[in-house]
Amino acid sequence: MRSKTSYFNPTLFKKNLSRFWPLWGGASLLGALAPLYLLSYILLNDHLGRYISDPLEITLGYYEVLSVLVPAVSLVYGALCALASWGWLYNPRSVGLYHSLPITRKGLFVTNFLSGMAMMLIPYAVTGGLAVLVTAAVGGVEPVGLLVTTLGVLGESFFYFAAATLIAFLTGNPFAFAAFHFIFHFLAAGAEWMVTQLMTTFYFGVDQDYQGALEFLSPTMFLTRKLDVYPVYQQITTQDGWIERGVLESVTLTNGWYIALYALAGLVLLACAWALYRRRRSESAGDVVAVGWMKPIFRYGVALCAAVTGGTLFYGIFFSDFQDTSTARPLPMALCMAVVGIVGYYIASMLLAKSLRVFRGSWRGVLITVLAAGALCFAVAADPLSMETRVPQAEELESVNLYLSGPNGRSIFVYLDDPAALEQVLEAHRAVVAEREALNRRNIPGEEEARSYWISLDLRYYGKEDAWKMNRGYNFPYTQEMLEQSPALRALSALACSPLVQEEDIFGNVTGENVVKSDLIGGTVLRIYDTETGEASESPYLTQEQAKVLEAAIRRDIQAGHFGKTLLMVWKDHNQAALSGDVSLYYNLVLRGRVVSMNSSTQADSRPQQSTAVRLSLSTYCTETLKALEDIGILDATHKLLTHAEWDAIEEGPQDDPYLYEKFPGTYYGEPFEASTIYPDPVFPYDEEIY
Amino acid sequence: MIQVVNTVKRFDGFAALDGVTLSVPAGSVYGLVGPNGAGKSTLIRCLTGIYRQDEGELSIDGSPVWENQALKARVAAIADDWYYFPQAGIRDMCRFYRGFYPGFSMERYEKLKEVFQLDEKQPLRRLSKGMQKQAAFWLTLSAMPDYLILDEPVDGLDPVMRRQVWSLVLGDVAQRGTTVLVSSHNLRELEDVCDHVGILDHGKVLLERSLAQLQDNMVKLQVVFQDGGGVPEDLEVLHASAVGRIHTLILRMSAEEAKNRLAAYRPMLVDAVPLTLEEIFIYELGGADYAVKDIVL
Repeated sequence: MRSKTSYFNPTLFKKNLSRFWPLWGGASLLGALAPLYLLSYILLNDHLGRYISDPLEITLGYYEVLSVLVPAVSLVYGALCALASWGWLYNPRSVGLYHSLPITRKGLFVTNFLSGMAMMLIPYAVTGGLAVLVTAAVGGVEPVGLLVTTLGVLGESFFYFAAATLIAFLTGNPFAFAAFHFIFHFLAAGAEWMVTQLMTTFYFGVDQDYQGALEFLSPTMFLTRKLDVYPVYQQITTQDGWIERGVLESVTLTNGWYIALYALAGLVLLACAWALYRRRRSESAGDVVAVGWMKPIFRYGVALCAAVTGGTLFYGIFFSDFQDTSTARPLPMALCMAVVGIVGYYIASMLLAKSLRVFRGSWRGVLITVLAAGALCFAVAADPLSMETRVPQAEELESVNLYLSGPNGRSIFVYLDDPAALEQVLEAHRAVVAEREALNRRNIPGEEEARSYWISLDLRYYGKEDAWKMNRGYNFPYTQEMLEQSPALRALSALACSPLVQEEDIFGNVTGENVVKSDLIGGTVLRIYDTETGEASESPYLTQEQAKVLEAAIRRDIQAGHFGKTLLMVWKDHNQAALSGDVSLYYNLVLRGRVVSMNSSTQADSRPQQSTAVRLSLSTYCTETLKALEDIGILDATHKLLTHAEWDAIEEGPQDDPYLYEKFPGTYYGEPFEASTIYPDPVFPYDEEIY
Repeated sequence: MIQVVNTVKRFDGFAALDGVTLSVPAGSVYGLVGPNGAGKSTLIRCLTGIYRQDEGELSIDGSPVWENQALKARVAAIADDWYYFPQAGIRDMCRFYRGFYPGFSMERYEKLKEVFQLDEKQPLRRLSKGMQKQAAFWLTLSAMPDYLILDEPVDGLDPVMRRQVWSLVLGDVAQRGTTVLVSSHNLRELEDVCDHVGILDHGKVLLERSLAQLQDNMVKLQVVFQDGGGVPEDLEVLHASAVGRIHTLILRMSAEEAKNRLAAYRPMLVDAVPLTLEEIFIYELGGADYAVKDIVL
C-alpha cells in the first residue's frame, strides 16, 4: 500500500501562497515602486541630455542592485518566507494536522520549499519584469546584463531561502528562529570580533583588527564586499584639455561566480535541511533547539559567547582602573569570564528547558564552563600566535595608513605605498614592539600626569594578498628624557620628519591617485606679526608665481627633514620652535571619476573638479620656507612669524599650565619680556584666576 | 485492522508508551480509555503518523503507518485540539482536505451541510468550541475514511449533536465497514457505541477485550449472608461495600462462577447486577493503584 506517493501537493502549494499573500504581495508592491522611480529617473535624465537609458547604464544599475541590495533584502525577506513556509512546525496543533494528512514528509518538504521559493521570487519577478518593461520602452535592455542579473537573483534567493529553511528545522520556536537566522549569517564575523576583542585586552597595541578570514561564512557581508561592479568609461577630452565626458563602454560584475558557489552551498544546506526534517520529532514544536545534538552546542556556545563579551565588559568595569598597564591581567579576566560564562550557561539551560528550575545537577556543566572560559582566557593571554610582537614583512605589504600624533595638537595622517616609506614605518613599528614592556603603561612612575605626554601611533597595514590587513594602535605616555633616550621614540621622531611621510602628509591631497591634474593658483600666510603696529594680519593673496616659489621651498624643507621636527616635542620645546603662522596654498584639481550630481556647478558627464587648500604649519626649522617668504616679500624686518611662546608672552602668557609657568626661565621669551615681571608669583595667579 | 505491537514512545527519557500492544478489529468501534497521562493521545498521534514510535510496530491492514501516504489517505483523524488555518472558514478547509484525501466526497459534504448547520464562510476561529468540533466532523466524515481515529471527539458538543455525531459515525461503521478508534473519558457514552475496549495506564495496556467479554469477566453481586455475617476472608474481592446487611461485591469472574463460589457460604440472597464500563474502568484501575481515595479534607 505504498503506491500513489507524490512529492508535490498543489493544494498545499496554493494554500501557502493564498495564506501569505500579504507577505509576497506587499513585497511586490514595494518592489514595483523601484521601476516607477527608474522610469521617472530615466525620463528626467534623458530630458537633461544624459544617457541614463543607455543599455549599459541600465545594466550598471542592475549589477549594483544585485551586489548590494539583493543580498541584504534576501537576508530579511528569506527569513520571512521561511517563517511563512515552515512556521507550522512551531505549533503542536498545526504539526498534528500537517503530519496526519496523507502526504509524506518528503512531499511536505518539497511543496513547502517550492511555495517558499515562489514567495521569494514573486516580488523579484514583479520588480524585475516591470524594470525590464520600463527600460525596454526607452531602449535600455541589454540581454547579457539582464541574464546575469536574473541568474544572480535566482542564485542569491535560492541560497538565502535554503539557509533559512535549514535554520527553520533547527528550532521549534519562531523567536528562536529569528535569532538563529541572524546568528547563522553573522556568526563567523561575530566570533572573529569577539576573539579579537579579547586579544585587544591582552596585547599591547593590537587594535580591533577584523580580517574577515571566515567572512565567507557570513554571506551577506561577504557578497556585499566581494561583488564589485566595474564600469569602464571612454573619456572624451574637450578642447580646453581637461574637461572630459565619460561614456560607459562596458560594465562587468566581478566575482559574480561567488553567487554560483553560494547557490551550490544552498543545495548542500537544503540537503542538510531535509536530513534534519526526516529526523525531526513532531513533539519538538515550541522547543528553542529542536535537534538533540545541537542542545549542548547551544548551551556551551551561549556560555562561551557570554564569557568573552560579558567577561571583557565586567573586567573593564571592575578591574581596569586597578591596572598600571594598558593591557589586561589574565587572572581577574578569567574570573570575570567564568562568572559571566556561568550566567550564560544558566540562561541557555533555561531556554532549552523552558523552565527556571535548571540548577539541580548542573555542577558538571558549570565546571565545564568555568574550565573552558579559564582555558580560553589563559590561552589567548599567552599569545600563541605572537600577535603582540608581529610586525609585517616589507615584502608582504602593499601600503599602510599611518596616524601619528603628539601632545601638541598636531598629527600626521598619511597613506603610504612607497616601499622605502613602508620600511621606515616598519622600522619604527619594530622599535616600538621591541620596547613594549617599557612603553606599555598608563602613567610614568615618579612623574605627575601633567609632566608626561602622550603619543598615539595607529597603523593600518594592507597586504599584497587580497583583503589582508592588520591594525595596530599604540597609546603611551613619555617624557622629555624618554624622547632623547628611547630608541622607539627616536624612531618615531625620525618617522615624523621623513621626507616621504611629510611629502604625503602635506601634498598628498593634491598628488593622490585620484587626481588627474593639479594647478597651484595662489596662497596666503596667516598671522603675520607686524612689529610696528603690534598686530597680526594675513598676508596679501600670493600670486601663482609667488606660490610656486613657496611650494618649491617647502619641498626643499621636506627633503631636508625640517618638517615634523616639532610633532613629538614636549610642550616647552614645541612652543619655542613651532611658528604660529600657517601657510595655505590653493590648488585647482581635476579628479578621476564622473560627475553625476546635477546640482554640481561643473558640466554634467564631465570630470569632477575641486578647489582645495594645502595648509601647513611651520617651525623655526623650516629655514628654506622662511627664506622664500622673505624672498617673495611676505616677511621682512617688520613682518615676522612668531613662535607660540612669543605669542603667548605677547598675549596673556601660558596661564593654564602651572608646570610650564614654573619652568619658565626669564630668557624663554627673550627681550623685552620677563616672565618674572608678568608673573611675579609663579603659582598664586592661577589659583585666583582659574579656580 | 489496526495492530499495535510492543510500541514504545519516549519524550526526553520518559516512556509515554511503554510497550503497548493492542489490536482493533476491522469494522469495530474500539474505545481507548485510561486515566489522564496514560498515553492515549500519544498512541493516537503515533497511529496518525504524527509521532514516530521509538520501538515496536504500528500497522493498519498490515501496512506500517509511518510515511505511508496511500494508507493515510484512508485514515482520518480528529484531534482533541483540531487545527484550522486562522483565516479559514469551513469551505476553505473543505478545499484543503479535498486536495489531500482522494476519497473526499463533495456529495457527502453537501448532505452533511443539513446536519451541521454552520456558516461555511465564517472564519472557524469565530465559531464556538462545539461548532468547531462539528466542523471537524463535517470535514472528516466527508473524507470518507476507512479508518476513523478520534481523540475526545464529542467534547464540547451538546447532547443532541453528540447523538447526531455518533449516529453518523455508527452509520459509517454499519454501511461502509469503517473502523473507529476512539479515545474518551466519557465512559457512559463509549459504552453505548463501543464493541471493544482497551484500558491504557502508564503507557501500557491493562486489558483489552470486547465489551461483552469485559462485562462477563467481572460481576457485581448484592449478597446477604446468614446471621448478618461479613464477607468471607478467603473470597477474592475487588471491591466490597455494605448498606445494612446487603453487601455489594465486585468479583473478577463470571456471574455464574461467582454464584457457585458464594453458594459454599449459603447466603440468604445473591443477585448479579451488570457492571457499567465506568465501574469496570474504576475497579480495574483500582487494581493498578488508581482507586478513588477516601480522603477527608
